[in-house]
Amino acid sequence: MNHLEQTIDERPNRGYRALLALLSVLSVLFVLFIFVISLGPLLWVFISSFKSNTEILSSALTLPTKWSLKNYAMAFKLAPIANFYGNSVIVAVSTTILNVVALSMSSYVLARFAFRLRGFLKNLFGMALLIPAAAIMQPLYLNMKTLGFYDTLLGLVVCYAAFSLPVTMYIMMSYYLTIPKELEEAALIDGAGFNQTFWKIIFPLAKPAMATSGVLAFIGAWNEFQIAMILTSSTSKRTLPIALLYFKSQFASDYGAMFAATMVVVIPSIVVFILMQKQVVSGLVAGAVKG
Amino acid sequence: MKRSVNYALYILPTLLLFLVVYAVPLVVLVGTSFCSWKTGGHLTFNGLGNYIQIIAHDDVFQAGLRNNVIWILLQATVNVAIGVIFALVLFRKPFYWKFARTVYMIPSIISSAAMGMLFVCVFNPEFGMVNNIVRLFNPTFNQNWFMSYDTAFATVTFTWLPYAGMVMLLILTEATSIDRSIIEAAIVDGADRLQLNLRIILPLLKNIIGTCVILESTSMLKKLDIIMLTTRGGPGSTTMNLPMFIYKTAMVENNFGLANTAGVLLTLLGCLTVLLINKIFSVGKEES
Amino acid sequence: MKKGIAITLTLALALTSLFAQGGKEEKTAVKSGIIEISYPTYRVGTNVTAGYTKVLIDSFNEHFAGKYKLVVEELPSDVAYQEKMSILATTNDLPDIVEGKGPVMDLAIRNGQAVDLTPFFAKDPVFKEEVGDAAIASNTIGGKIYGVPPENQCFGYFYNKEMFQKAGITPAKTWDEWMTNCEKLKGIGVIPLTFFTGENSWTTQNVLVSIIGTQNAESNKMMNSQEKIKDWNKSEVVKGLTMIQEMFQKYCASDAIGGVYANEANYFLQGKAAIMPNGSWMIPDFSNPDKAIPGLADKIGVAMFPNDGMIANYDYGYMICTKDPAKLDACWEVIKWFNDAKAQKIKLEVGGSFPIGTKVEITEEFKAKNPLMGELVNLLGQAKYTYKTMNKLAYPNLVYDGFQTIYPELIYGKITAREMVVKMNDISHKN
Repeated sequence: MNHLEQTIDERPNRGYRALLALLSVLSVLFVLFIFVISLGPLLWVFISSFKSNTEILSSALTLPTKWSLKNYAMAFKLAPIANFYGNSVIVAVSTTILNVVALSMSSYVLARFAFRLRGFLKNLFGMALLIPAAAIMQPLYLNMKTLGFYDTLLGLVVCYAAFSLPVTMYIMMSYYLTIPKELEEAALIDGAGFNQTFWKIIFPLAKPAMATSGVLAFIGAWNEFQIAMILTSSTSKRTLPIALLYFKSQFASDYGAMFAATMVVVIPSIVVFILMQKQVVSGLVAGAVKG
Repeated sequence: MKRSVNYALYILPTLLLFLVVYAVPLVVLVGTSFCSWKTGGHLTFNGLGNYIQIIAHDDVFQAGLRNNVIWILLQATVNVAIGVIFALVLFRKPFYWKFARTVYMIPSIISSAAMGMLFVCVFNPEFGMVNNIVRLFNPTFNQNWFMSYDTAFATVTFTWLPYAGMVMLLILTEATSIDRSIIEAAIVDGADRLQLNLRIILPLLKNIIGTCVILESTSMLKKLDIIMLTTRGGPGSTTMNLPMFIYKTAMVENNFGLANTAGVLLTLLGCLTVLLINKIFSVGKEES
Repeated sequence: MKKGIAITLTLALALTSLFAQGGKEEKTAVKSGIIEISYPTYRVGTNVTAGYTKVLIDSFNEHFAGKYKLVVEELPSDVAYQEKMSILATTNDLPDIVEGKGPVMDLAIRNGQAVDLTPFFAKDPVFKEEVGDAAIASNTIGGKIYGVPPENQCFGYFYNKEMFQKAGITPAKTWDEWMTNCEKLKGIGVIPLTFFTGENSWTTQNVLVSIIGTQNAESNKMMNSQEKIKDWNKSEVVKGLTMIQEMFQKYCASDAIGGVYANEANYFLQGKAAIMPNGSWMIPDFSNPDKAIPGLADKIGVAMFPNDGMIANYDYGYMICTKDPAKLDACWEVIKWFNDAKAQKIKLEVGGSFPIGTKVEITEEFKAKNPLMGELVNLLGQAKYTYKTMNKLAYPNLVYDGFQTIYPELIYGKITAREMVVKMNDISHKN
C-alpha cells in the first residue's frame, strides 16, 4: 500500500518540481523585462538630453562626446518653467488634500452604513470613472466659466479633485471593508459619538489607503495638461506639463531641448514619489500592526 | 446629532465636487447628443439621428469601438496579470524589492504626455533607440513602428499594456495587510511558493484584483494623450479609439452634437464593462 | 476632535489662499482708463516668429502706455492654439484679436464674431496702401474684409547645392527631371525629399500644389481658387497624388510617414536631406548654430518648382473679434501696429518674412546682405505659374487631420490615387 502511494506521489512531483524551476527562471527574466521597459526609454532620453541636436540624429546609442548642460539652459530660456513649478506644486498639493479628506469621509459612510440613497450615490460617484475628460471638455469649460473658476488655480484644483474622485473612492472603500467592525462597536460601547469614532479611530487607521490614493491623486494633478490648457489663459496660472508643449510648436526642431525639458518635468515627480514612498511604507507598517 | 444628518454632512464635500465638475456637463452631454450642434449653427433637436449615423454609417466610429473593446479586454487581463505577478514576486521581499517597486512605478508617474513623447522618439524609425539597437544586428532595418499597417496596433498597445505600476502598488499594499499568521501556517503545512500564491494569497486578494480590473479597463476609455501624440488613430483607422474619435469630431470637424453622442456611447460602454466585471468579481460585498 | 479641527482648518486655509490668489478677474473694457485687449498667440517658444512678435507686442504696449494694453495668452504649438480657439468659438468667446489661421477664420465668421474691417480701411487709406490690394483680397470673404495677412508667402524650394553638385544635377525644369533628380540624390546616399504626413503635411502639400498648379491654365486656376475646394476629382490631382505616392515610397526618410515638420526640417538643417520646399522665414535657421550644422548657409540655393512654378499666397491673418464697441478702435490700432509698413520692415529684417504690401523696399543693400532673400525676389519676377498653399485651398479638417489619415493609406498601397480623391471629397463635404 505504501509503495503504491509513493509511486503515485513521485511521478507528479518530478514534473511539478521542473515546473517550479522553470517558473523561477521565468520570474527572473520577467523582472529583468520589467526593468528594461520601465527604465530603458527614460535612461535613453536622459542621456540624450546632454547631447547636441546633431549628435542625437547621427548617433543614437552612444554616450555624449561632450556632456553639456546647454539643452537644459535652452529649455529654461524658452519656457517659463520656473513659474510653472510653483503653480504645479500648489495645485497638486491642494488637490490631494481636498480629494483625500473629502473622500475618506464619504467613502466611510458609503462603505459602512446602509441607508436609503447608498446604492444610488455609490453608482453616481462611480460614474465619474467612466466619463472621459475629452467628452466633457466643452461643457466643463462653460460650467467653470459661469461659476467664475476660469483662469484660476482653484478651478483646476476642483476639477482635479473630482477627476480623482472615483479612484480614491474605490481604494478607500476597499480598505474600510477590511477594518473589523469590532473596533467601532468597542468605541460605541465606550461612549464615542459618530464623529469621534471616525476622526479618532478610523481616520488614523486608514493611513495606508490615504497614502496610496493621495499619491495617485497627486500624480494625476501634477501631470494633467489638457484641461489646464483649456481652463487657464494667463501665464501666471499655467502648470508644468504645458512647458512640454512649448517644444512641440511648429518649426521646432530642437530635440535636445525637448528631451531636457521632458526631464525637467519628469524628475520632480519621481523625486516626490520616492519621498512619499517612505510615508506609504511607514503607513504600511502601522497598518500591519493593527492585526 | 441625528445619524442621517451626519451621513449627509460627510458625503456633502464629495457630492459638491461631483455636481460641479460632472453633473452639469453630463446633462449637457446627454442632452446635446440628441441634437445637431455645430459651431455657428443652432442647436436643433435631432432625435436618434446622431446615434443611427454613428453606429450604422460611420466606419471610423466602428473601428474605434472595435479597437476600444479589444483594448479593454487586453488591459483587463494581460495588464492586471502582469501587475499581480510582479506584486507577488516583490511580496517575497527579495533584496531589490524597494528599488523595483519605485522603478516600475516610474512610467505611471510621469505624465502620459511625457510618455507619448518618449515613445515617439524611442520608436522613431531613423534615430530612435529601438531601430538603432536592431541595426546592430541587421543594418538595413527600417521599420516604421507607429505608422506601418502591420505594427501600428501592437506598438500603440505596447505603450500601455506592460505598464501596470498602479496595479502592482495596490496589490502590494493590500497583500502586506494580510494576516501573517495565515501565511506562516501554510508554510508550516508544507506549501511551496506556487501553492502559497495560488491557493492562499490570490483568493484573499480577490477584492483588490477586481478593483484593479475595473480601474484598468476604464482607463482604456480615457487614452487620448498617447494616441494623439503617436498615431492620431492612424494609419487609416487601425489605431482609432473612442476618445480619439470624440476629439476629432469635436475639435477637427467642430461637430459637437455628434461628438457628444459618441461621448454618451463611450460612457455606456464603460457602464457595461463595470457591470460585467462586478458580476464576475462580486466586488464590494463585505467579507464576513 | 483636535485632529479633525486641525484638518478642517488646514483645508480652509488652503482653499482661502486659493480664492485670494485666483479670484474672478473682471475683464471690463475700461479699467482705470486703460483698455485691455486680449490676444492669444502661438508665436512663442521655439516658433520662428517668436522673436519679432515679442518686439511688436512690447513696443505696442510702450507706445500706447496708459491708453491701451495688449494682454497676451501664450498657446505653445499651433495645435493647442487651434484647439482652444475652436472651443472658445462655440460659446462666442473668441478673444479680441485672433489670427484666422487654420479653422479660426471660418469659425469666427460662422459664429458672427468676425468684425468687418472694410469701414476701418475706408478711413485709413495710408494703411490700406501699405497693406496692398492683393493682401486685402486674400482675406475678403463674401465681399467683406475680415483680416490682414501676417506675411506674403511666396517661395519655391531650398536645396543643398553641395549635394546637387555631387549628384551632378541642377534644379529640375520639368517634373520628369524632378523625379530623376531624386533618383540621383538617393544614389549618393542622402535623403532627397523632406516630406512628412503629420501636422499639415506642409512640405508634401507644397510640392503637390506645385505639380497640379503647373500643368495647365485650368489646373492653375483651381490652385488659385478663392473658395475652399470641395471637388478634387481632376486628372491633374490624380497625377499629382500618384507622383507624391512614388516620392514617399522611394525618396523620403523612414520617419516621413507619421513624421512632423521638426523631424524633416532637422534632416535638412543637419545636412542629411537635399530638398526643402519652404519659405523665406526659414532662412534665419540656416545660420543658427543651435539648429544647423556650421557652414550650411553657404551651401543653400533657392529654386523655382518645375515649369517655373512658385507659391504666392496670403494666409488668413489678424482679425478683430470683439463685440465691445469701446474696444474697436484699440483693436484697429493693434492691427495697424502689427502690419503697417514699419512692422513689415521689422518682420522682413528679423524674421525673413516677405512684406505683404509694396511699400517696403527691398534694397540692393539688403539683398547683398541676404543673398537668399535676394535670389527669391528675383525668381518671383520670373515665375510663370503661381498658386496658393493647401492650407488656403482646402478645408481645415482635410488639411490638419484628413491628409494625416489618408496619406499613409495611399503610400502603403491600401488605396489608389483615384480612391484617395474620393476620400478627399468626402472629407471636404463634411463642412
